[in-house]
Amino acid sequence: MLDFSLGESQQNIKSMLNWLAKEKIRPLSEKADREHDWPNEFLRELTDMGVSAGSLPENESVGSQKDTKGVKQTNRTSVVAIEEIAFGDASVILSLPGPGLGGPPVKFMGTPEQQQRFLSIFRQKDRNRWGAYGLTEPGAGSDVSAIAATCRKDGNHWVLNGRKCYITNGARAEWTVIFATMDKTLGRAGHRAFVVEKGTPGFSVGKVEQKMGLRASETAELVLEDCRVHQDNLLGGDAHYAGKEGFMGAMKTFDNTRPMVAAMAVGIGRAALETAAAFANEHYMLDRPIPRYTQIKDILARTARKLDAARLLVWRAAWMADLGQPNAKEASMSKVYAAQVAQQATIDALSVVGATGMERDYLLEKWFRDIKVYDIFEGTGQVQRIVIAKRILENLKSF
Amino acid sequence: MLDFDHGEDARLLQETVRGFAEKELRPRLREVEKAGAISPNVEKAWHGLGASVLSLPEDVGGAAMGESLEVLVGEELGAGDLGTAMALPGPGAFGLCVQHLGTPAQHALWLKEFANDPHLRGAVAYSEKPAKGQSPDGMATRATRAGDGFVLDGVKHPVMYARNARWFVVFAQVEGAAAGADGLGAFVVDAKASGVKVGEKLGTLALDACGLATVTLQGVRVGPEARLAGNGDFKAGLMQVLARAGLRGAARVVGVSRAAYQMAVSYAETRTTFGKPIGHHQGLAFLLADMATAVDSMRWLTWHAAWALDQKHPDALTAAARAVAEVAETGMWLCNQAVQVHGGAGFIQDLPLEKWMREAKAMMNHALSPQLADAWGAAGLLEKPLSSADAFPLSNVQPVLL
Repeated sequence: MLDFSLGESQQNIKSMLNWLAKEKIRPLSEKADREHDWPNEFLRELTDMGVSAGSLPENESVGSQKDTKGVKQTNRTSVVAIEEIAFGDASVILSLPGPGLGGPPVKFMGTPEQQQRFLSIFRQKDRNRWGAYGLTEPGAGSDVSAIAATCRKDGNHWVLNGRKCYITNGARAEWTVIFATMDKTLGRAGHRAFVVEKGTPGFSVGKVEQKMGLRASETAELVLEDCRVHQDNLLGGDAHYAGKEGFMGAMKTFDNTRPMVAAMAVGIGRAALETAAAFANEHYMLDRPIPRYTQIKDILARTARKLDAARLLVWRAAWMADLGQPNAKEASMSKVYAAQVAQQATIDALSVVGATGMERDYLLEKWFRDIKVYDIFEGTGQVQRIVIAKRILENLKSF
Repeated sequence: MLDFDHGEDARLLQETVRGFAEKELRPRLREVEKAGAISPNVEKAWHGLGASVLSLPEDVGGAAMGESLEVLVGEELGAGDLGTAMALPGPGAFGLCVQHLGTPAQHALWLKEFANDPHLRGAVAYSEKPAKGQSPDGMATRATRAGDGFVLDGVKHPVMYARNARWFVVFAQVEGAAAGADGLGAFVVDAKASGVKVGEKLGTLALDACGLATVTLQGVRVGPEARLAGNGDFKAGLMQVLARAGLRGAARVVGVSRAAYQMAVSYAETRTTFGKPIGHHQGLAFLLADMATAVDSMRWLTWHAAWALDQKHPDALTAAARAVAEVAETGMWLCNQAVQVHGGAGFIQDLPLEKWMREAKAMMNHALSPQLADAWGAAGLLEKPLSSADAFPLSNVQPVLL
């Protein structure tokens, strides 16, 4: 039966994270953005509180609570939590210790032994650790099948060569899931996924990027030069690649992660809206008509309704994921819509507060800079439209 | 008779400024942003073109040209780099205030030196920081009568060019005048006058080289000659200032939009995905077509408004308002899409696109916000007169850059 209310555990998580966002995260936001990093101790503190971005089995304890129909709420709870943290600062989520985007491929593609070997390190409490996901290349962004990093079997090892770019936590990750091709002419069938560990000879960090936004999140280039990786690090082993799974493994994770990315966008958009609304209340809401108040009201009203729609699209995609229903179209809808709506929310919020909103310590200008990448990474808005179009036009096989 | 051609002389000026922008502005855009300043040599090169005093009166060394040429020049500068274009020395909004609110004697006092000094800047101290409980009517900064002069007290924020200006035009609520916007006055203050304090440069989203800062005035004395009284119609004079400053800013936004669009089209022809240039995928081709159309629409609106102002057309202010609002919003959309076309590369600071997107946002707060411009436009359309309160930016509610 239709129900748009949050469950009790979700409410509790939302309240807790809302407090965290306002009281703990936002006070450190401007500095983290300026210094391009979150303090390690702060990230440790968050992890100790149970805030984590990972997909470790035990982190499902809260999300694994079942709804009234007996269905686990993992994805629904995640998107509620993620929106709230992003409401504080989205770059925190990307910087949280854990396997990050590297987690899903290890989980979905890795053998039980690999899952144990690569994921157990994140249970160690001595220091912060990160994992990373190395798919994108300078010549292969939207067109994932065009990756040019190569892998060649050599006895019990594989030799990897190539360059990956725009990798979140790439410079500090303990390991990175690297996608490489055995043979470009095979297209996706030639793709293989390896876990390449930090310190492996021939595996180095290139440039760390200077970005428009999400500056506190590390974005790095990774270079593979005759990098030898053991067969045991081939995710899933040879058996996994017998069918189409190699490529699909990479793509499948997006159906879970796209709504989460969209949830971040909603959090940023909501932060902008609430700031602008509070400003309007304080400075425009007086006991007589203020010039242009109607226009400001209209802007805020429009932003609010679109953010509501964005959130519902996110919740719907997450609900389908919890039910185990294929949700590629819905995940893409949530992402393409939320990214654009949230971008416009930051533009409009800055308009409402005027020129003072441009100042760095106001945070609003940071949110404007942060949100842009949400229409780009994890599949550009254009790619999302392709995913949607292919599912609404029955006879459309490809563009 | 309809004619979209500026003519040969204008074209020569356009090419000259374009050459300057390509050679001196575009290659240095990150350097200027990082340093927060333009090099003296580039300032000299700009001044040497003679274009910075284009529309000053002849008797102060200007070329007495109109807005039609200003917007032509502005677009070329913006196409080199918007941030640097906004930071160049010259009379700017300060000059507009003196020119349109001041007498010929006051023009001589404060406009003459621009023809000779390549590094000279003035600033306009209009906006104030929104503060809880403060009346939005008029301003908190006050001009109290003292003999035949005035004493100015208040805090102005943010003030463009504050860090480099020799003079400020300070807007203040005049003692004994009407309440609210009808009681505003404008006063020229020497930056080094006793009681004037310019704060540290503000860290902002964009326009790092424009020297934005807080200006505090404590007991600043000015004589009667410092008051720019508006030549009998202060509201009309200030609206001229806002319209022209807004339009010249809009021209720069047209320029940067053109540059961003050109970069996007170029990229779309060379970057390939799924076997072909990305611009040959219909979705992107349509987007680029929309961007191309947008650049042209922005330009014609701007040129039309400039022509209308030069012609002293009765609807000139409405035309200016429409251009400013439309260019601000469309420029923002276009610069965003230009980043989008470049994917991840657009988000990285190796390319200028993310900078231009930030600058396009900043320009939405310049002179006339789209909300204020639309209020002018609606009044024009519906043939309703505008009160001062409806015509001026709300200094401490929706602050503007000027």
